[in-house]
Amino acid sequence: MTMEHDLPVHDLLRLASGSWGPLEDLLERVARQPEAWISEATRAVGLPADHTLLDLSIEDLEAARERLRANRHALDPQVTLLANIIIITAGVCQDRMLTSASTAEVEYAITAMATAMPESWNSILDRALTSCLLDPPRGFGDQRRAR
Amino acid sequence: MSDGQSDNSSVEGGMPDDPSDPTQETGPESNADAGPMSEDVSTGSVDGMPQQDGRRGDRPPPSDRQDPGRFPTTRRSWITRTIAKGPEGEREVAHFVMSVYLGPLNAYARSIPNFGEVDPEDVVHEFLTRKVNAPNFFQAWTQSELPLRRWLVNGYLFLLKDRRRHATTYRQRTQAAGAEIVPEFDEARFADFEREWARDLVRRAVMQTEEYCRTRDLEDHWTVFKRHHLDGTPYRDLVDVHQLPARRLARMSRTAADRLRVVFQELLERDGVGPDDINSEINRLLELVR
Repeated sequence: MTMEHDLPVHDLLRLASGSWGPLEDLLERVARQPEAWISEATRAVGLPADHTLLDLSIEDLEAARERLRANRHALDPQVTLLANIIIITAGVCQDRMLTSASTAEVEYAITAMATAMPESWNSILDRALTSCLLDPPRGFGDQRRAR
Repeated sequence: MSDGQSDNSSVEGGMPDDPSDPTQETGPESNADAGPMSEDVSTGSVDGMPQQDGRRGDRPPPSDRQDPGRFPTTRRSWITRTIAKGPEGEREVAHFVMSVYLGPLNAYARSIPNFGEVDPEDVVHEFLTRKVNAPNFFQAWTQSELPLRRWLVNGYLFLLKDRRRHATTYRQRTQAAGAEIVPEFDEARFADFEREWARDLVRRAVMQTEEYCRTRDLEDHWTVFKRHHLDGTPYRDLVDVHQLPARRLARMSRTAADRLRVVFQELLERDGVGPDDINSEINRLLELVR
């Protein structure tokens, strides 16, 4: 059944590559101490650490992103990375891509978050993962749909 | 549909304890080099993928790293171990190479003009059944500085040249006509060969991952991975089909993706790529199939 597919060779190689190491390393740490990491990252940018993140406006998230940019030199780089992913995830929940990273990268990050974040983040992650922003054709699916 | 502990294995369970899991070795060499998401914050202008391979700790010293775009160094671990068993091991390696390289070498052969007397595809079969099966074929390779794929193509071309020279000589003797036609190594043709090999590598990796999932009660995980990554179905649609939350589906898919990553590593290692070179080899293949 699988071999009936015209496999997305590039996408699958990309998925299997080690390029995601930094993100995986971060989220491995987050999974071990989620509350501490989330608390530090969200506090750094003035965002709530729970599902009330969904109540914020896009303007609120953009302001948080600006705060992050302004303060990033004073923050731990991994805290910066997590805060950025949280902002991006919250933006995707509202169907807004607050990053110039590719959609495939964003989906990979949010999928990784789905493994690392505590259950209290269910509603946030469910909403982000079902956003139309992550619909094919994009990233992992672009090439095969173009064929 | 089950959603077992394996969903978390990539982070909480399996990764730290599973030496076969390549993600265990991944991570930033420096926190400041943390990938596109952090770059996005600092510059707001990143539009690409991570630029570093993300591995840490046991990377080779700079003097041992290959130049970008060149073949990775090879440690030949599986092949070296296997041929050390003697004739039985040599046969095992030869069988592996024949099963993996028949298709790509045939595709390579088809790209070579057929001048009638020596069919390049016939020479592929002769090469695989006689030369690759010959004693010490892989011993010689382990002493070379070449990646296995290049070694095989060189050996095939050498045999093809020999056969064509012989045919030309025969023709000259019998018909006093015909020029010697000897194919030279061609980078573009070799790149096509490698692309074909990479496509086959992905097919094998997908099949092995599927088989792994099916034999370990992870068939549902595989199904979600397949629907999402191979069929391009959004999680939103899969939520309705599977009656599971998107987060759970993503975790299931990720379990299969983690296995796919391990399978890629195993397949490349079997092909002679050293553990430190896996990521650079995948990046090179990414460039080839782009």
